[in-house]
Amino acid sequence: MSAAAGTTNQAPETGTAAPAAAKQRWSGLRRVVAQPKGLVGLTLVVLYLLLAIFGPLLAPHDPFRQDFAATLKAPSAAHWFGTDQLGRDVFSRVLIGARATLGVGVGGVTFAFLFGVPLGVLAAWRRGWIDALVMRVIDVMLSFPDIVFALAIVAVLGASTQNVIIAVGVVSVPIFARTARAVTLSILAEPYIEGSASLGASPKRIILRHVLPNISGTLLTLSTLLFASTLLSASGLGFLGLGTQPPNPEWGTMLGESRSYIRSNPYLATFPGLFLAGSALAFNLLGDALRTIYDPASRHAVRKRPWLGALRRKARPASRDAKPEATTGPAPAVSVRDLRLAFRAGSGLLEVVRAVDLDIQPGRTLAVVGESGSGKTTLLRAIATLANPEQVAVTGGTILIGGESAIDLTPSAMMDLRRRKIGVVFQDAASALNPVLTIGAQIAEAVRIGTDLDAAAVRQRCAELLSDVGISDPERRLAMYPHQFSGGMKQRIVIAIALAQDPQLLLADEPTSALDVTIQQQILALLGDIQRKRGMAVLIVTHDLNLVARFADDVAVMYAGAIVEHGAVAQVLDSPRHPYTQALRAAIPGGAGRRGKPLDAIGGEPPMVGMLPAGCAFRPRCQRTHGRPECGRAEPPAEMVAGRKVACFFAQEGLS
Amino acid sequence: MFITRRLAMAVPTLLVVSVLVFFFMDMIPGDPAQMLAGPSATNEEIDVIRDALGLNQPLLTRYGLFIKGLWDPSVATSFLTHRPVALELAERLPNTLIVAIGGLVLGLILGVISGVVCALRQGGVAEAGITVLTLTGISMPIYWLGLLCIWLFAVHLRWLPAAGASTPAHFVLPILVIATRPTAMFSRLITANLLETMGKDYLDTARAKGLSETRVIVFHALRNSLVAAVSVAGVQFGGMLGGSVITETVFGIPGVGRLLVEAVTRSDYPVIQYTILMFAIFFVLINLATDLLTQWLDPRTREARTT
Amino acid sequence: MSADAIVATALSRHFVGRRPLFSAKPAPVARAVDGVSFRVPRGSCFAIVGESGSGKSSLARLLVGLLQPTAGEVVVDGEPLSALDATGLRRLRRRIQLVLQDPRASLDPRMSVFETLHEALAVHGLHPGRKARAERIATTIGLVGLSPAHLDRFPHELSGGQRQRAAIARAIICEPDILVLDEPVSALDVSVQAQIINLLMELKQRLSLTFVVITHDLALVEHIADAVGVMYLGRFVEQGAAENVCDAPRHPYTQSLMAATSHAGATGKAGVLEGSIPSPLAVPSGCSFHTRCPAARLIAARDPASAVATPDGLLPRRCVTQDPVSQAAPNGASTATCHFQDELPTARPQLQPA
Repeated sequence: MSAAAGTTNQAPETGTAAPAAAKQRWSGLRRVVAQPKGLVGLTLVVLYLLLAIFGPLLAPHDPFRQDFAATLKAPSAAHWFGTDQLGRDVFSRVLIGARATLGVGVGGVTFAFLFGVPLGVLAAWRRGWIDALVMRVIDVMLSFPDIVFALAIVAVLGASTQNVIIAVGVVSVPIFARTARAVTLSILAEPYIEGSASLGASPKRIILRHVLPNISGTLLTLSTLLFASTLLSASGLGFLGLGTQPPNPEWGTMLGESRSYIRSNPYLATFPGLFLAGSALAFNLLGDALRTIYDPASRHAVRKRPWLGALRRKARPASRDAKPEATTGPAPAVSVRDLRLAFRAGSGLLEVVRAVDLDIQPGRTLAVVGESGSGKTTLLRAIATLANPEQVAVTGGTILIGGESAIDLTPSAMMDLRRRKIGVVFQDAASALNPVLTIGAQIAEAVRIGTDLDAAAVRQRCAELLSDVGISDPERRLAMYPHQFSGGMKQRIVIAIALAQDPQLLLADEPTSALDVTIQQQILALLGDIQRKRGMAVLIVTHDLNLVARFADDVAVMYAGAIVEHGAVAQVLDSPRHPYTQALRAAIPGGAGRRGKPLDAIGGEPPMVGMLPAGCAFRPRCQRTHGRPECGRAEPPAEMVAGRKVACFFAQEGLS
Repeated sequence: MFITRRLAMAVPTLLVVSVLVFFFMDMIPGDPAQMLAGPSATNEEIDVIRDALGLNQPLLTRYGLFIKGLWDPSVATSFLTHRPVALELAERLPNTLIVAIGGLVLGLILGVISGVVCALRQGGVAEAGITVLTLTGISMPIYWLGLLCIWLFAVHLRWLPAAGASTPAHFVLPILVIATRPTAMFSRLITANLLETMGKDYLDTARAKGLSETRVIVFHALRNSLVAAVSVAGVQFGGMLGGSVITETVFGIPGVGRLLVEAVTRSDYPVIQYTILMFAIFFVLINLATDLLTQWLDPRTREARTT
Repeated sequence: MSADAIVATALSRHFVGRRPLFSAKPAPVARAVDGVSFRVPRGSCFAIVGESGSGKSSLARLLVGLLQPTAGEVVVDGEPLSALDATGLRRLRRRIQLVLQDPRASLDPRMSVFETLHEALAVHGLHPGRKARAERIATTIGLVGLSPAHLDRFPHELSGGQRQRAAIARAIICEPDILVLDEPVSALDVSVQAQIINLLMELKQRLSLTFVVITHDLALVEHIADAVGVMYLGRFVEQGAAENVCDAPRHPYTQSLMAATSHAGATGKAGVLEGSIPSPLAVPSGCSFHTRCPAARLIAARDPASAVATPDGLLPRRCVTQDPVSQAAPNGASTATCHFQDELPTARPQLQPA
């Protein structure tokens, strides 16, 4: 093999694997401590564990020594927690009881972990009859309420600490097995497992190196949370007199004994209960913190205060120049001036859309083209009035939709604007439709609002909308649910909803990029037809230059939050003036003449939001900037060059 | 289609459960007949009892007898009271069900309300407060909480009776106490689920129609979260039936749970057997009902793709 | 060593669904791959093109032995996969590597780049010794254009392009002969796609690799492939030299695909296929493309005498009832599976301005 020959000479790096792994391992702990819940939980858990280990050494009195002269005393300097019905010191008994109480929890969870996890992983890995058998056994085990199941086991084995451990352990086995099976199945479905298998990794290696490390976080979380509930059930058995037997102290048993004295001496129940609840709380806090880290479902970005935040914002006077300017000719359907948008980050604002100007006349289509992170979607959402004010701040400029400002609206004005003027089509039609409502209900909701049509008329209108978007047999389809349609059909339904209120402006965010090529063409043709019939203005956001060429009248190329070139499609795409537009054109494969030859790739990657270079944002990747200090000094303004606006100091270059 | 499959699956589960509960009798160390007869009984006396219990018959016959006990009250009688087990159970079941259903309904109502508030007021005081309360709720040993409530409301304030089940007022404290855990569970579930749903595009589709935020949240977001709540409600209900063994001990309610605890402490095996079997049958039926309900509420699982 | 890196003969993979309980109906069968044959000469690039649901991903997994064929045979480098046991298959996998579409998902999130690359060497026991392996790893990341500083990073600490470079490094570190690339650039930004395409072309040249590229992007095929198979419902409807298939497509489906990806700057409706790809559980009779075929409708309209009415409109009887056989183009450089391919215009289709 000659693969290693002629490669770059790099200094061999050894021993890098270990520190990398360590970094990953400790990051888990760091992320736990970074959360208030995690910090408090972890501290409490450590304290409790110390108590369980050193409790007997700290006890000031003999926990078993009875003193019938001093029974049921209230807390005092000599007996901090008072004395019980036999005159024993409650403080000492609580300290010593920690070991038995927490020990039962540790024992039970360990038992359940050792039996449940291998069973679950095995079932997920082998599938087939093993899986079926394990699932049936789990089903049967879960057919008994857990504490009743534990009671039954204790009834058979007799009441003792050890039997309680077995009882609460057995009860948790199916929970571990089921969770381990579920997470293993989901990990096994990950492409990197397929990647390893195709690499030639043995099943053993895949389980040990890929599955187990990746399910460990979930299992750790589950263990911690189960520890809390196991503790409570075990102590519950103790409370019933079926756990640790007197005179040995255990918090649940102590609570059970205190029950008879609740009228006269309530403090007897107070302290063991407090410690018990505290320990369960500690593990629940820690478990919650772990879950935030390891459960992908609880980690994703969350819309904060979506409605109350909006409701609470008072109707501010239209502070900015929201009045429609006196214009000649038809008013544009949308007019954006010097718009600046910023993400609210922890520390401050990260500018994501920088000084964008655009107009769309009725009946025209503007395509905004850019790569991920260019700010194109944020721009579209701001125009759609769907930008979440908790996440995105308008830091300057105006948006006028049909002459009305779309910024700083009261909730009712915003609803009104959305209803009368705006329709939105999303990238992923599958998630843009509510899965539990019929499509008829979803379209009707849009039709009904703001009108007083009767039910039959609404239904009639919904059916018309469906036929408008090319769906046959609309009456029957109205009663169907989104999952019963293919991807292309779902996108047609989303378009029908967007059209329901006859919008003046249709906003489409990558409407076809989740679809197959032939379906993309159908959807584009449909959008084109509809636009011609209704004379709407359309703003389409996309990364696909071919789509722009076919579908749009005008195009605005965005890079790092700003429009770098803006003009008629024929001009911009056929003879681009900005180096970024030129490079994008050149980077796309195609055209018979270039077959097999290297593409003119743009070096590097787009800048991250908030980390722009000085001067022109495209400078680090630009071919034209070489030896030209201007580019680093200031941002080039957008100027008219050859019939379109270009933001480059050297846009004239090459023009003759 | 799904219904038939799901029903078909419940049958073997029930069968296995009944066999397990039946063999439970044999796993107990010692001879039930001897235990019943008492330490002073002669061998003849024990044999008579053994015969009466049917312990001398073949296994299958005994299993048949055990199953027959499900509807024939004369088959199984309590060792202690010598009354039919069925009668004992039937007397006490209503008390248990009142507490469990009351707790579930109260928990569902409080949990959904607090869960929605928590999800919508992320980062605020309300969220912090509800998070602390729910965490405390799931960490609270209900037997301890029960004792504290008895002391406060019955002993100290004298508002409510401490123990028993004779008047509706007797059920107030148990229901309040038993509702803590489901309240916390539903609250956390609804919060997590709503937050997940909040990021979905279909809420923006709804907003773009010009709907009010309240309608978007209640009609579109919450509706989806309730489907998840239903599936958890089944588990919670079963958990509360099981939890009755503790609540009923704390509040001195003559219910099925208390019957079981007393039977276990006094080795009243027929009562233990049939009580556990009853709990298990309840559990299987509840799981079945929740599965069917979830299936019906979520159209995605209701039928296969047709277009 | 045989001249062909991969030979697939009458390759089929059917997935058998679950038979409904209490039902006399047989279990549904999905024909994901249905009688596909092709050969990939050593050092060439073969592209498999199709929409989602066409079976192209199943085909890729058959080639690397991750799926077992229902019928037919894959011969890699003269070795039939069916003759290999589990160990033999794992050994063979060193020589044929799979690169997946989404590098974010195809790298283990808990392994650094170093660990990922190290695992590949460890699995096959190559370059034993810590130092030798570290050297091999350093060389490989240099080949894919990453720097040693990237070795300690975890996938989430890399950009999309860097992740795909790391995934490619994992694939080439064991010095394979063949790379199967499943949508290698479609998850990347446009400006980064070109970098990765260039990298792949360069590696192919430099390491004398054979490529099988699975994609939906005909522009990519035109750029890098020597030969292409166009897949529809588990079968190749057209296959042959990439130039011929792209410039003079003979099958109506290929023609529609080409029209959809052409670079013409005009809006239009011509070439837009109606409907969507049928479920592989219910493959249409006769020519499986007849439910969507625009050419069949034109032909039926011209010659109604030999047409039949179907739910999809008036169609030639042959299309609905007869399985078309594969026929070679006049120049012999491609074959298409269409009854009427000789009657269709073969020039590269252009969309008509509206």
